[in-house]
Formats: sequence, structure tokens, C-alpha cells
Amino acid sequence: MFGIQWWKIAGALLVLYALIGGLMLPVPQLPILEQSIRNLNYHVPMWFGMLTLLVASAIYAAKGLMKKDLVQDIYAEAYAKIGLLYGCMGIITGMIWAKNTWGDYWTNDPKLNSAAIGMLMYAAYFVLRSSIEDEEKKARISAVYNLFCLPVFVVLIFVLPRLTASLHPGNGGNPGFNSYDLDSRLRMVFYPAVLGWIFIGFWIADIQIRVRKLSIKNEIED
Amino acid sequence: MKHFIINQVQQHAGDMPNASGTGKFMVVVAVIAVIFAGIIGYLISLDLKLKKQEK
Repeated sequence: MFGIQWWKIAGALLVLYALIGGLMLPVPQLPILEQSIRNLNYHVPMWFGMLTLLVASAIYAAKGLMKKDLVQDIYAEAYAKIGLLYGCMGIITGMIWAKNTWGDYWTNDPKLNSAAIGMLMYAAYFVLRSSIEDEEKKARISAVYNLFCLPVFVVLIFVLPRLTASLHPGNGGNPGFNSYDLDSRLRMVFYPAVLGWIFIGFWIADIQIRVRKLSIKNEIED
Repeated sequence: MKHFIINQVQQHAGDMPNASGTGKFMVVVAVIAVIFAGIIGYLISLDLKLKKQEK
């Protein structure tokens, strides 16, 4: 469509629908949360998007290691970068939400601390990258670190909070997605929102990847 | 006392943004939609510019 891949347009339309639908559709009346339950459609898709992008990043890192291909490293870096951006958005929106429902910007909720540690790990990924000059070495070492980061991050945000008490729904010895008080009215916006934001994340990463490829091409030609 | 309670309820009902679209709520929805459309429009133009450069 207009020379833009279909999934980019789909992502834009899904997010547009979710932005408006999240505000307009009726929501369950919950104590404390009240109308702020609508944040489910904005805050949570950030984390789902981040995780999808980080998984993609790890897949490309593994590919790059196996094929010894430097191009894969461009993908791995871009996906990790946008994943981290989504994570920052998730943390900031979560802090605003927490202030108004849990009473503080930063509670010592295990999920919050874990997310913060995990994001610092990915920040270290970029520090590591910028500290290595040689492109081949940079790709190899950062790919290994990337593959180490992902499982630790998954354990940090999905396993550890379930082992202790957590303020987040679905945690604190209470696994399973259904323990979210996710009724069908919320689902109608929530799932499109998640899918849409994932597409938008890949779109932004796609632009980053193509810019990087172009600049490398220009360097080679010069 | 009765008057006070009714007053309180009315006040709270007033400051709760209601999804039914009362109180110019739709204006905010429209503004958010426009901002998002603007960002997407910019992304599309970036994408197309890149495509031209790649050729």
C-alpha cells in the first residue's frame, strides 16, 4: 500500500484503534484502579513490545554467530535499541500509574526492580558495543552477551516476581494470564494494542536498520 | 447532611472522565488521534525517503 509494507499500515491502524478504543470503550469498575485501568491498553503493550523486540534481537544475534555474518548484527542492535526504548516508556508510564494507584513512583515491587535491573543489563549491551572498535569482534562479543541477557531478563521479570509477593496482577505465587482481571471488554482493545505496538516497534527498528545499511554502503563506496 | 452527601457525589461524578463522551471528552480523543496520525505520517515519509535512497 503506497509503497509501504502491509504490516506497517496494519500496526498504525491497530494502534490508532487501540488509542481511541482504550479511551472510549466501557471498562470494568474496579476499586483503587477506577478509570486508570485504561492504562492496561497503553502501559502493558510497551512491555510486550519490548519483549518481542528483544527476542528478535537475540535470534539475530544467534544467527550472526552461527553464520559469522556481520549484517545480522545490524538487526540485533536495532531491535535491542527499540526494545530498550519501549522498556523506558514502560517504566515511565508504570511510574505514573503506580504513583496514582500504589501511592509511590517506585514501590519495592519485585517486578519493578527486576525490570530496572534487566534494562540496565541491556544498557550495558550498548556500552559494551561502543567500547569495541573492531566490527567483527564487536558483533561476536555483543551477540554472546545478548544471548546471555535474554534468558536472565525473562527469569527476572517473569519468574522471580511470581516467587514472592508482588503488586502486579498475575504475580505473587499466582501464575497465569487469566488472573489479570481481563474481561472481554478490555481484551477487545488490549490484544490489538499489543499487536499494533509490536508492528510499530519493528517499523521503527526497520528504519534504523536501513539507515545503518545505507551509511555502511556509503562508507564502502567512499 | 443529606445535602452534603448529594453534593459530594455530584462533585465526584463530575471529575471522573466518563467514556460515554460527555463533557467534550471527544475533543481529547480527537487530539490524541491527530498527534498519533502526525507521528505515523512522519514515519511513512521517512520510510519512503529511505526507499528512494536505497534505489
